[in-house]
Amino acid sequence: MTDESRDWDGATALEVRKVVKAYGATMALDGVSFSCQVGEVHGLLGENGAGKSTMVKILSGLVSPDQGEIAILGKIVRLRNPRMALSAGTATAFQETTMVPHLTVAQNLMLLREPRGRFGFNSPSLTSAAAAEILSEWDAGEIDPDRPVFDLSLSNRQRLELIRALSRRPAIALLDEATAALGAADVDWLFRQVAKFKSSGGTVVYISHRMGEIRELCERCTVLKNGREVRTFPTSDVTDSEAVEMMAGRAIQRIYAAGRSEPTGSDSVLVADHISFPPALEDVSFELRRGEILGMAGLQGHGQKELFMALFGACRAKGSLEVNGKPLRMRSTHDAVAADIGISLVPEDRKVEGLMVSMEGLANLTIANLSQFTTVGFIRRHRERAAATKTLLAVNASVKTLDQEVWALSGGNQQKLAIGKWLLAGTRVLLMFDPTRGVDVETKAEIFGLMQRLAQEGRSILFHSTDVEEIVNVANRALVMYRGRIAAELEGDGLTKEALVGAMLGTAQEVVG
Amino acid sequence: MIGAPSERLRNATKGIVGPVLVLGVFLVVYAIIQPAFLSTMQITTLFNGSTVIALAAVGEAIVVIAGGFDLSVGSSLSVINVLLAVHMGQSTGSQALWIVLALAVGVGIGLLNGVLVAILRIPSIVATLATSFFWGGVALLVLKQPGGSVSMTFSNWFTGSHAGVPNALLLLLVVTLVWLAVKRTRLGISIYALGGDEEAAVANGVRLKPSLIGAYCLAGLFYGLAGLFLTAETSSGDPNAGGPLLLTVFTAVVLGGVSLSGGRGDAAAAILGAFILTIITDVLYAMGISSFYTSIFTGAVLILALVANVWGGQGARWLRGFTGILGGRAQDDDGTGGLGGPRDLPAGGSPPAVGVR
Repeated sequence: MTDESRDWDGATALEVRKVVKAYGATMALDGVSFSCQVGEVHGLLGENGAGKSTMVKILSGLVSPDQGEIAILGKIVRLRNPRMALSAGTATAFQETTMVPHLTVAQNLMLLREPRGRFGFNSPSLTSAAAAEILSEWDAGEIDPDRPVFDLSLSNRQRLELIRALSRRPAIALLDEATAALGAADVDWLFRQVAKFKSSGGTVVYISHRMGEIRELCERCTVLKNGREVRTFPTSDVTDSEAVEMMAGRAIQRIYAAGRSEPTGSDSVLVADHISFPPALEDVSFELRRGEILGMAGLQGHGQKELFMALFGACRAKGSLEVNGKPLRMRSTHDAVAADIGISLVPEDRKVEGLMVSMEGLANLTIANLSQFTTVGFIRRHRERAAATKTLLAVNASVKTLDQEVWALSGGNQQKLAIGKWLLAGTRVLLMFDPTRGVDVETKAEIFGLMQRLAQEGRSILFHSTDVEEIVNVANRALVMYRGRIAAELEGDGLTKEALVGAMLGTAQEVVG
Repeated sequence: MIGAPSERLRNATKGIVGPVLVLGVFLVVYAIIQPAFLSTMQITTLFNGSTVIALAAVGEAIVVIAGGFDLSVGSSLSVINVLLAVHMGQSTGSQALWIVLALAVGVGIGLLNGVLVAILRIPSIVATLATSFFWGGVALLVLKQPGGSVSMTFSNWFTGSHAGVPNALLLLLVVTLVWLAVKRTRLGISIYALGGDEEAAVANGVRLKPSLIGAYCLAGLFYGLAGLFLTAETSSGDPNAGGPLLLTVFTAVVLGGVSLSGGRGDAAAAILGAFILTIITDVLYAMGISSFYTSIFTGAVLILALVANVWGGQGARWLRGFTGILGGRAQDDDGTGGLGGPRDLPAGGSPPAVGVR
């Protein structure tokens, strides 16, 4: 394991060798190797689920690899926890920021490295001053160090995350999708800070699935796919489409084999009128047609989640809703279910998607619909089982899931159960919030195929995905949320990746027309 | 940009403005109903009546800020109380020894809680429920029924006064200074960070185990002080003395503006909470309401304080509660994404979702 005699190149900042990490039966990393040179900005490129985030977690000490070794500046290191990773010389700016919300900007920036004042106690004024100095050093002097972090915008929180990582002057800075919540101006800002860090001798591993950024920042990059590295190459040697091909393989055609949906009718099934839930949602109106898959795009934190919750009656938003021409009072989720609206909400944390994870699949499928199988209060087990089996076949899930507890199922099967539950309930409107998060490519293709089939049967689907590619390929019409409002509506040939991304960053509000 | 001095002052006093105002209002009301209250004797009585709760609430608040709950506070006090009543002698040496031992027992009780929560990862509410009954049982072993006694000198050390200044006030000032110092250490900032967002704290290198154990031990230290004061005040032992105090302690913590979901508030402000509660109760007595209603009343105050905090927050926070119910980790702590969090929270506003570790 610790073969110190190996000759490490003195100029190698980071060497990852045959790293393996399995979660149960899923191989998140299947023997990944790559290395980067001192002073290099090295891109780590890959689709969702390729293993990038596992790699980041390992390098920042949150997860321990099952096998393989990691060397930093020629020394083999063991990163058993974040503290060891920090002292070994890595610092990470995480995609989902790790700022403690009720501490101030200064307390977060200087966490555990507070300047000492009298008697060796931390000094709030010195901490604040040190933070101010760091902020202005990294061109973010306009952020008030004494403000609590929860008071900041999402983009400023992400900028702080970056500043904190870089200001530790690590040997290797890991930037994980660091631009996810940044607008165009802030992306430029980030590029400048990375250049500054690099010119002072720092090494950066830049994790992204955006080829444009990789091209602008990185000398070389490594493409990951299905937990393995495909290749490491100088960025200038490869065209965008070659890189995309490496990331997706031929799977990209397969995933979207079902194609875009065409609405089966032009009548509106669900009409949302001036839905407001300040400050997250402002005056959102739209229509969902029969048999339509309506895409809902937006960067994290721009109101999509709140909109889905509002439509499902889970928060008391202002405005009115009409389902099948009838006004609907949304006071609780019960009202939504009674109006044949179903939701499939996948929170960050897998294993929980409105499913009761400690119960088996059967109970999860039927609990919302028990009255269908009940005679004078007793559940007719045969009928329950028969109906559940039929539903499972309809969603392409294995019949075995009926008797397995949900926590033991794969993400894809959990997702299918969540969808199946609402089919069994006769749902006509399905709200799908990022249904492919963390599922493998094959299951993705199945879920999209299933969505198209449901739409053809005349059900309507409101579909949010964090992956723009999915929306472009699956939906026929898409709405873009920006700062709690619908910033754009794109349809048919106008629904392109570029137009969507532009609207998501708030640079194309004129599209609204 | 460093905030202007006024802003710095606002930040420094942020957590305690609410409780101070409430306390002020009740003091005025009390002074109007009972003008005699303004005498030195009465003030000393007020301090002696509040200090046990105040000290225990400081300890409890530390655990709550770290993101946990400590239900063993009551029986910790009982154990210390009966040990002192049974074993402490009349000599100054014995009394000094037992003061140290009482604090040590408190720290030991906290250490056990800390190990259960931080190392064995038992949810704090369950771990401390178990230790609460454990120490309750130990108290009964030491002393079967109320009895025992301590010397007047010992009592006077705690409950007396010097030149009109109650000794209790001095003790509380020292406790406040100790807490303010702890806040400025690595342990202090770790406690706040862990209670605010455990995952984020750990990702930034905060040491979870020593910090949580430290929080529980520190809480135990203050329970030790509370136990000493309780013994001095009652000058006898009662194995069930601490049990009924649990609700009162929690109410004081919440009235002091400490958020039950962790990471927010100031432990020293729980002292103010204890005084608010004592004065409310005293005002009720003065109005002729029977003391049989005290616990009904305290429970109602706790609920009201929590409801006030919830209603004081913005609607978006309700959503966070709901996403919490759905099982997801609230993706964005204020539930409002990049659109700016609730800006006008009441001091120490507490969200409805009560996080239990």
